[in-house]
Amino acid sequence: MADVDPEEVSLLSSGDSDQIAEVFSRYEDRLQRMIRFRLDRRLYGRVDSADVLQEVWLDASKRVSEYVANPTVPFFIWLRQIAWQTIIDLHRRHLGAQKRSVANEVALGGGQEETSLSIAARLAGDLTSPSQAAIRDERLSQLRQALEEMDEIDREVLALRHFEELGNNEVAEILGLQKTAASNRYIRALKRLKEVLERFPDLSS
Amino acid sequence: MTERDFPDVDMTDERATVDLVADEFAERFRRGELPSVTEYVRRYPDHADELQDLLPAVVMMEQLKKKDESQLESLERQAAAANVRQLGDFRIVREIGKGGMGVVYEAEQQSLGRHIALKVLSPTALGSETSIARFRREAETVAQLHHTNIVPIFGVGEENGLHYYVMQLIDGQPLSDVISGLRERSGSLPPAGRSSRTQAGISSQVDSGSTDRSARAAVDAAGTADSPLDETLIYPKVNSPRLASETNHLGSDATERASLRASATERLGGLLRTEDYWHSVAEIGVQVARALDYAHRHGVWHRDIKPSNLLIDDDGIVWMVDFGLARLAEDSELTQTGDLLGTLRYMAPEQLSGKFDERSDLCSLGLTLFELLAFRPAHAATLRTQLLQQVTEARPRSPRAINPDVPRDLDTIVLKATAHDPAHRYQTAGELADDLQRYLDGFPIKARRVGLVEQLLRWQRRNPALAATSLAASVLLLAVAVSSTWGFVATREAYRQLENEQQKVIDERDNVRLERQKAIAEGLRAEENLDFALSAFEELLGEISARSSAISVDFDLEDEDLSSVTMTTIPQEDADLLLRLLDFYKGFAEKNTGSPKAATYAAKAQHAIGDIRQRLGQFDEAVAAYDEAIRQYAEASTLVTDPVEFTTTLARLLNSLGVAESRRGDFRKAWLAHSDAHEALLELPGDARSTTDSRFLLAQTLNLQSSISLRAGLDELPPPERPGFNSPAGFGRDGGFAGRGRGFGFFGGDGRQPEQRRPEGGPRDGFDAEDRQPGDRGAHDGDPRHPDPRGRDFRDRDSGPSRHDGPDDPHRPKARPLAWLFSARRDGDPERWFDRPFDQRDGGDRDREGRSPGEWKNRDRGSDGRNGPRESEGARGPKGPQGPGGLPGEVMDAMNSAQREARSLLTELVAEVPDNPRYQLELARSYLNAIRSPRPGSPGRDGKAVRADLQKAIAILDGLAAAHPDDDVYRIELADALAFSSPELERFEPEEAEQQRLARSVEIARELYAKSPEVSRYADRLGRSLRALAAAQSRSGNDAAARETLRESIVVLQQAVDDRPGQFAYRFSLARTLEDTARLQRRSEQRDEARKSLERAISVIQSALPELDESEPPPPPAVRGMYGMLITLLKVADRHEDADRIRDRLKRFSPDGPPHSGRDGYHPNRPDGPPRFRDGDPGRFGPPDSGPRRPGPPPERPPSAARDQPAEKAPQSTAEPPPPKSDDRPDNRDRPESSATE
Repeated sequence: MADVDPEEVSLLSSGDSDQIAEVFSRYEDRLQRMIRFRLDRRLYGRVDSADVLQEVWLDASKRVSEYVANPTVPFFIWLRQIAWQTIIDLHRRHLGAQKRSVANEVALGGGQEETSLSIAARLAGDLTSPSQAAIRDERLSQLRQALEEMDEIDREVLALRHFEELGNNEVAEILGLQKTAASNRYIRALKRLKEVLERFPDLSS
Repeated sequence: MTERDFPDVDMTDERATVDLVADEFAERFRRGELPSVTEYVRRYPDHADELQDLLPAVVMMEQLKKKDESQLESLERQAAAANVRQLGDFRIVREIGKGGMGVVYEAEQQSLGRHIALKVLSPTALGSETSIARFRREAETVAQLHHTNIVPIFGVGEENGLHYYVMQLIDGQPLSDVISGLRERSGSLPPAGRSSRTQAGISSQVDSGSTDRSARAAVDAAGTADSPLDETLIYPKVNSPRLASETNHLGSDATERASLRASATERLGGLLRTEDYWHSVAEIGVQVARALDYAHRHGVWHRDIKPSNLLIDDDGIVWMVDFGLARLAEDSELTQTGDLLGTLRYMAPEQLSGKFDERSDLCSLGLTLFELLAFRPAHAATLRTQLLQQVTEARPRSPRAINPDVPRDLDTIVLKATAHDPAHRYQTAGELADDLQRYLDGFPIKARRVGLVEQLLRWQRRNPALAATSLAASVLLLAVAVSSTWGFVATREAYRQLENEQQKVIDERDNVRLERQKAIAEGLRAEENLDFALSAFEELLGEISARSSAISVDFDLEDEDLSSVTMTTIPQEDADLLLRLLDFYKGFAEKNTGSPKAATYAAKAQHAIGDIRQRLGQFDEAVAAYDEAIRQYAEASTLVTDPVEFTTTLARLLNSLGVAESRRGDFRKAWLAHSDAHEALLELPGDARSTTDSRFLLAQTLNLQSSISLRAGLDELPPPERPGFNSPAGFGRDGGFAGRGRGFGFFGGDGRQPEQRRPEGGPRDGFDAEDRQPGDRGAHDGDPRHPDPRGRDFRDRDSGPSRHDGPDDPHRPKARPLAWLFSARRDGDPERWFDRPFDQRDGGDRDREGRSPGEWKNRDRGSDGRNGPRESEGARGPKGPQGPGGLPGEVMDAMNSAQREARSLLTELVAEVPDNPRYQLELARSYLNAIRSPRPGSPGRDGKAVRADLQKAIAILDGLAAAHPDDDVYRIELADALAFSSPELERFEPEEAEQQRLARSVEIARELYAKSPEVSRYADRLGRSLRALAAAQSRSGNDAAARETLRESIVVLQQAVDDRPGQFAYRFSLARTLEDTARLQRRSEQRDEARKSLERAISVIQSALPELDESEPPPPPAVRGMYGMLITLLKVADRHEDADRIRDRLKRFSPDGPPHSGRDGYHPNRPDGPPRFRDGDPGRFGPPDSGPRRPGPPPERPPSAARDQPAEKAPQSTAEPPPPKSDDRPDNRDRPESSATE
């Protein structure tokens, strides 16, 4: 398990808003990255990632006392959970019924359902010349298919490690895995991804 | 996070080493380093393989993330841009359009107080510094362009990271909007999903079959919306739902815009279906092409020509926008798929492989013009993959294929502009503009030559077997010659005109003069080849007709106003080729006027036009063309140096006219035309008359004369034993479909005999009361200078049974000199000659022969012995029994006489020149004519004679087929002959022999079909022969075999239907076969199966029928006929309500009775009926003699129906007077009422 940083906990429990803000700011980039990655693209234009981050801060500052009272996970993990919850709420509010799977994500606690889609979309988004774009639809669905074949958690491991730039321990924490298991999964996922990509030579070029 | 900062990988970490290495690797990558995989492989040799394998995947993920982030940043910038209110000097007034490249605003340039259009580029469109630089460069280049048709760019700018350029605000409407507006007006079917896209505010932007999804594509195609197809790639903008109506570069006021749009569309819409519309399109094309030419010469390519990038303003000026900007889109990582799709639709194929030059712009312009002509995109796919395929692979499409009204020249220009290979297109925009201008000025376009030749080459590719023959090869060669020939001739003519009118101007232009001289020289040379070349086309026409068939279908089932329709079944590709040829001839005929020499060519062209029209089933037009040909020919008569050739040509023309007339149902005119031909031939001097060619032509003419009844259904009343096909023995003489109609093959332009004949049906009569007056046919006009030759002809025949002794027969009065014919035309009103005999329907004194009406009466009565007094006194009373088909009874005699004479001539010819297959074929046809059109005095009434003649015909055809094993013409004729059946024959021929005969027909047809399944005539023949065989089998009690045979017939005909879903004839035939099947099933108590068969028959008919729309003109006869069939089937299937409903709706189109009866000439009423199985079925399917099939004459039934009835109703028909004895002895003629029996 990732370690709880006692210094952080003391800063947070100080009640000094400047100090709390300082701690928050340590994680700003990572959270923003996470929000961008996880926020449904249909919401762009309506919702700004900075706005989301703002909401996360608001929420977090209200509940920071809960954390310091019982810091079982590193503060970033805790923040990320709040951010995740905020995103879920946003999705619900804006996309509503269009996006039933949001509910599932809550259950899974990690948005894994969407990961394959996101990765696939990003991979296929690589195809930008006119002809490539024209085949993008089809490739995208093939790619998604291929990614679906990967283990859900493996996919999520990839997303967390690379898109959110989290470390192994954090990944293990978020997904509730042993560190070794998380690491193994990461290696395994890379292998699978490699295999998938080999089937799509035009993507990996 | 400590693990992310290791200076070196801690090998003791519980994590897999590879993971740690990967983490470090990724971290370095994030820092902007470019770590080398090899380096890591070297550092960790124990894990070399794994690392080698996995690190690239790490790189991949990291790269993805990078892109993702940069995209997201752009998105956010974009979102910010969407809220922009002020950009520097520019105050945003409103958004007027939105596309992948950015948003177009109307803005006020505050410093100058003017309104401009501001295009703010989407931040995503300019992903990198390089592309920003490029944008500025491009925009500055375009800003250098100054052309009437290019929207001026005032400048570029950047504000808060938003790049924009400023251009003139145009009060105009994108062509994409215009097209959709016109499309609605043009009456083309709305796209299926139109309603679903009303929310987008766009009606029919793109194409049919659109779903919601494709509706979006449609919007995108216009480049005006921003919703890409793929949800996962959607990056909507703030307030993104925009109405398409807001997306135009229009004035600032919404209502004003609406009215502008209306007026632009209105303006063009008002021109729809007029020559002016095509001109407007060409003018649009000229403007754009000129602008492109200008831009290209300045080194700027547009790269994204499409309707939505062309604005048309109130003055008809076309404005091009977005010059060169599409290129930016190609750079952009975030090209929105929807915009791409819109662009893709108009892309030149080579663009997809990254090649582009000015010819690609021309292709896009060509595709845009296509849409203006056809009201639908050339590439209509809505799915990207399909669209991509279309763009890449599709051959250029002809707008005319969709909208036949498109002028041929414009069609050709579009085809050339959109040629797949850029080398085949116009090479510069200027060339395209020039050709369009030529079209506008009425000069021959340059693209024409290639078009026709190319078309022929394609035709050759599609028909390799045919093209392989030397004939086709030479035709092809000649086609090249003639197409250039015609171009030269026409060009020369054009230059000649110019020379006279604009001598000075031209002289100043040396190059033009040179060209002119060259053209004149070429033209002179070309003219020498013209005759040769034209005749080559004639042969080509013959080739095509051999593979086509005209099927005459009796649709009349219950409703009297449903006519028999001759439906041509011609392969689509042949039809296309014919249309091209037609254009060639039309253009040719138009350009060749003004001199007798030219008139000769024009006459030839008109003759060919008539032939083509005829092959396309357009009989009215064919008649008009032949009339015109005769007129032109008469005009050229002053030039005649070879009277023999002149006369024979004229005779051929008249024969062609006669065929067309009878096809369209005017049998009197047909008769008259052939009589004129006959007359003309008799004018030949003795030595010319005795040549084999002349005699053959005469024999053909006579054969045509005598076979009019085949087409006309002249036969009056059936003998008691042939009332039909409902009688126990009756099964339709051809066993089905064939027997139902008077189908004919095409006649060659030289008046060749039908290649496909079907036995004559039962009685029919379609002439209106006033049409039936005997005086008609003798009445030319009141001008005594032009006594009518025809009546005399009849009289001659009557008086001289030895007529066929030969042209030199002393008993034959001297035929009228041809002069009367032309003098009539020269009298200043050539029309009159054509109209005189036919349209004057009242007055009893039209008989120019000086015969009294009483004389007519006597003749009439005598001729067939069973007609009552005719209304020859000029009365227009109700129809009573009259001469067959409205022709006087003596025409019957003339026909019989012609038939004998033809046979005699042909027998002689065959004896003299035994090797000429044409003579033999014609002789065989003359035998078949006789038995196919049984009439008083013809052998067709005598079973023994019928069989004898049939066997002779079969023997001849057998010999021909054996001698020419490669020529399918003889085999198909043989198969036709073998399938013959008639009640007379049926009585005489043993069942076994009949079945053997029919089986042979099936066998031959099957071979032909197997060899060339694409030839519709073969499939048709096979299907019908099978049906005939099934009928015979059933009659001999072998229902099992009959069922099997019908099954094959269904398979074949279903295939024919599938292959040519639009051909009603096959559907009709198939439905009939299914109906027979149902009857058989019903008889063997397979009621469910029977019902299924019937329902299938119904759906076969129904699925091809258009909805009846009362706001539309009445549907064509073929459609009405199909509805008639449907009604009958519905009734048989006990669906009376459905039947009644359709019937009622049909009736609404013809409140005043049969609209077609006069024109189509007769009310065929299932003379041979559908095959009835021997013992009938007393059930719903109707006893043979009564039942729901034919519940009796409806009240509005014309009187003639009373006579029609017996054809199908045995009880009634037996009550009819028995037929006359089959001869024409004078004493017979005088009997007022014949009581003779056979």
